[in-house]
Amino acid sequence: MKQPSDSAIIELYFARDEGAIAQTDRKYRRFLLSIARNILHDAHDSEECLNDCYLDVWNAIPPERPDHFKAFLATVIRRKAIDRYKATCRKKRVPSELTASLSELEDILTDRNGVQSALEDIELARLIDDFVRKLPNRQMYIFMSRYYAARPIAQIASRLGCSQSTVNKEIASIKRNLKQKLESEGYPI
Amino acid sequence: MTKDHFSDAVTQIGSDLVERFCSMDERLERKRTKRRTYLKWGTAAACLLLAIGMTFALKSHNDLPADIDSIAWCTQDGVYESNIVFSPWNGWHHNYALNEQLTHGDADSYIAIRVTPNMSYPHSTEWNDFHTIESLNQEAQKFANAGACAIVKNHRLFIFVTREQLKTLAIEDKDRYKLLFAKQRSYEHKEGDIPTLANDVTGFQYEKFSFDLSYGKYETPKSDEELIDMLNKMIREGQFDTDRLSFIIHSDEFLTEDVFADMHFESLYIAKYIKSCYESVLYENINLEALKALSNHPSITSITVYLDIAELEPA
Repeated sequence: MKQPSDSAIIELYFARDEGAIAQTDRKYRRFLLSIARNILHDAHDSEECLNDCYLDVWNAIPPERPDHFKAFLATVIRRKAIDRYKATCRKKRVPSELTASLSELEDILTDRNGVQSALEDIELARLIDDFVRKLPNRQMYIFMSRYYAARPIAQIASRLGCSQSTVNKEIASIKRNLKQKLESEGYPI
Repeated sequence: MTKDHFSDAVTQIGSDLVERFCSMDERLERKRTKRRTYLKWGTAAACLLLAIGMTFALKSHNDLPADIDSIAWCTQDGVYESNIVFSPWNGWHHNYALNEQLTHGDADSYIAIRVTPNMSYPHSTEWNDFHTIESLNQEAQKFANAGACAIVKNHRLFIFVTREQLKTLAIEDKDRYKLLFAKQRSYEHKEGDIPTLANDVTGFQYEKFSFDLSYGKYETPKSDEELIDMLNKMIREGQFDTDRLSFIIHSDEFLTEDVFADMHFESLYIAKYIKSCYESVLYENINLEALKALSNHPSITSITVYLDIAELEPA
């Protein structure tokens, strides 16, 4: 059966038609679950996360009318998954791909809970957004796959049709450049 | 900056960037699926090749009828009489030459029949289509299973059956096939009757030659002796339905007909602008000394040798 377009699904949300969630689920369930699972590494948690995501989307649209529905959903599920990840992490160490991907950035990140103002958070978000935007397509894809969707290296390599060591090399180069960028912008590391 | 700060910042990446990532992801996934498909089909093709090889070997081991001397071949010159239409013989569609054999020929003789199935049938020099070869082999298998001696040769399907066998041959959809009385070379077939060129001529510029020995896969001889062996091999290959070798000759300059005078070519076509010519010669008329002279001609750059498969039906 043909999938409905994103704008048609958004119209269902605006009409407060509960079929909107069913259509979203049919079209994007696999994609959204993959993001949640990569972060949480738990099927049950991911499923709950997905339901939370649908509820958030239901509450957000309207008034929101996202230009990129898929990206919007990805952002919501990622937020949900990260929140859940943080909550779980407080209790135990989570063997998640997110843990692994963040561990790669140890030379940039610290474990110290230093005082960081809300303004610095906004500045960091802007810097990273700006950095990723200026990356070549391939590196942008690797960065987003690894740090946004928390995908395993093997999966990224398979998508790109290259070896894992090639992806690792590209990640090392991205990290180097990110560190340089943050330092040059005077962001405290 | 802690891990939390970093992951929160990444979450706030602009939705247009996420969209770019999503669409690139979809594109790569499609490409990956395609790659997997190529891999799958590549593997399938390799298996198919193996199957073709095995099938061909199987067919080649199908023995001809023991009383080989009594095989009836078409001795007509191949003139196609398109106006004469015969009604099917026991359900088989056939041509005018075969009709004579089926109605008046010796009942106990084996008849050499070329079977043309209704399928995409590429030209003799374009046999890289393994799918078609496989289809032809499957057709041959059907006839072999029904009890006929079936041989795929020169990318054509031949069967050897008596009139009685053909009448009762259990083949479905007879409408799909056209039977032609197979033509052999211009002399009667006997074991050892295939002309062999004496391997005693030397002095060829053999590196100019290439032989289409396996339909699209060219081989270049490495010595005079190998060159003549390849010619002989090609003559043997043309045992059925074939009575000529063709030479395509490329040159640096326009060549006149007198250059080819000693080659006894039946037909000679010289293309002025592409500086090449196409010629065919009966096996028995091949003049090795003349061929040697051609290979040593300073303007001639290459000589490609093909089997010229005679047709009993219009092209």
